[in-house]
Amino acid sequence: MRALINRVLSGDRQAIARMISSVENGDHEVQDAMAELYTHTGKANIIGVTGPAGVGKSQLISSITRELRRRGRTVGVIAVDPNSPFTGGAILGDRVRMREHFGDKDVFIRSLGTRGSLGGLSAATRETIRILDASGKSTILVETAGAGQSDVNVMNHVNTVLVVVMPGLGDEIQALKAGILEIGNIFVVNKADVGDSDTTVKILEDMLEPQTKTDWNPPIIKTKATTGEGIPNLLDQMDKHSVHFRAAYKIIEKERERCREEVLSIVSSKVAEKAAEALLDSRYSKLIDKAAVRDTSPVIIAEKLLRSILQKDRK
Amino acid sequence: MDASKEKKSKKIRVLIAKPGLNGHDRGAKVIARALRDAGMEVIYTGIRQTPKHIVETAIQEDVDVIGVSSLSGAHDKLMPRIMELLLQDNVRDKLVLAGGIVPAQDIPILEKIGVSKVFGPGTPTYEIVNFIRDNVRIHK
Repeated sequence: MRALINRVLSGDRQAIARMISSVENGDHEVQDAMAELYTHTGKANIIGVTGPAGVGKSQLISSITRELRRRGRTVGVIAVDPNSPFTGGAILGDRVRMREHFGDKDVFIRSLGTRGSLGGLSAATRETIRILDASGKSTILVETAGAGQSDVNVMNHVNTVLVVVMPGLGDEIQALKAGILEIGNIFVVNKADVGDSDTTVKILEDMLEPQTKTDWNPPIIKTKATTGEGIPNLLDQMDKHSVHFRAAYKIIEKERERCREEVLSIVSSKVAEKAAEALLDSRYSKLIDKAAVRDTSPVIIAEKLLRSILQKDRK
Repeated sequence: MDASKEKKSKKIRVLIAKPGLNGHDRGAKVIARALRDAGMEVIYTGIRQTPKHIVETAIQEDVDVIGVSSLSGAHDKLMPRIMELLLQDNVRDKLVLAGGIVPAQDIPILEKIGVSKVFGPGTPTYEIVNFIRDNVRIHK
């Protein structure tokens, strides 16, 4: 384990990949290793990229990566795709758009499935960000579909959120979940040549106006990811936001909130694990039978179970 | 750790790669979908991949299986190159499979350099799924 940690810190690709797999699979053995890696994090710029399907997020990330490399930065990319809730499988195809970077040892790309659970996605993504951060990548880009609540949750783990749209979305922009509009730090109108991008910019401006933040006014940037137009400007804005975010009080505030939430989330899932195990016992099985026919209630069973779990750990 | 929970999280990850110049990938896509329907995570990186790119992807994505699809007869140069690169990077734990049009006399040659199985065109997808399930080395 010591060797694995050192290899991750030195940027060994196989070690990084293995570590990511371990956290994806929920291996308990790497918990200590992750706790140590955590102390080596906090250096990387973490950028979330979200938005409706089809706007060109993957291509945009590839262009951003190209420009980052031109500026001498090392890059980690995490691309998240949903697993089928029925078969549990997934086709993780975002990597296709990043081909130009495959031979570059300083770009690490990992495709993650959602693997079905809200909490699961957040935890695996959060830990993967940390592994890439600890391994020395200066910028980490996280791409999600932007369609659901879990994608808004993932954005809690990044420092700058890019919301990507394209011209002609019209109603779809109006339907952008309120949560996504609020967490967006930079808005990107990609495929700017495809339709009336000026109208799209105006729509966004109107939607953002009611919530003008006093300390950071989210810029709206036009890009054409396939040619690279607008990308240098986008990167400058990303850097600007990064500086703004790191201004002492803001980043500490956010990190405190994250740590608190993370502790809560870990405790909840560990307790849930124990509860699930305990429910397999015949005593509780019988109680569940009674609840099913209204002879007792789930609340009463839950209280009993919780008392029992807490008491066991007191020994 | 609870056994059933363990099974839920561990997924077999498969890289479907198409090296070389051939542009047809319908077969590879059919297989990718079948593997997904069997509960696996499939990393599909598109056509015209170089051996270097295939190996790099296999490492970063920590796949359990590398499925190389080749219709243009490029298997006799590209496959050995892929195996060579895997060895160079000390990657020993991945199941390597080949699919597509491979002349019968080349199959033993491929198997000798480390390809576990060659699947000809028209192989039923359940056969491939079962072979993977039976032979994959889950070291995780």
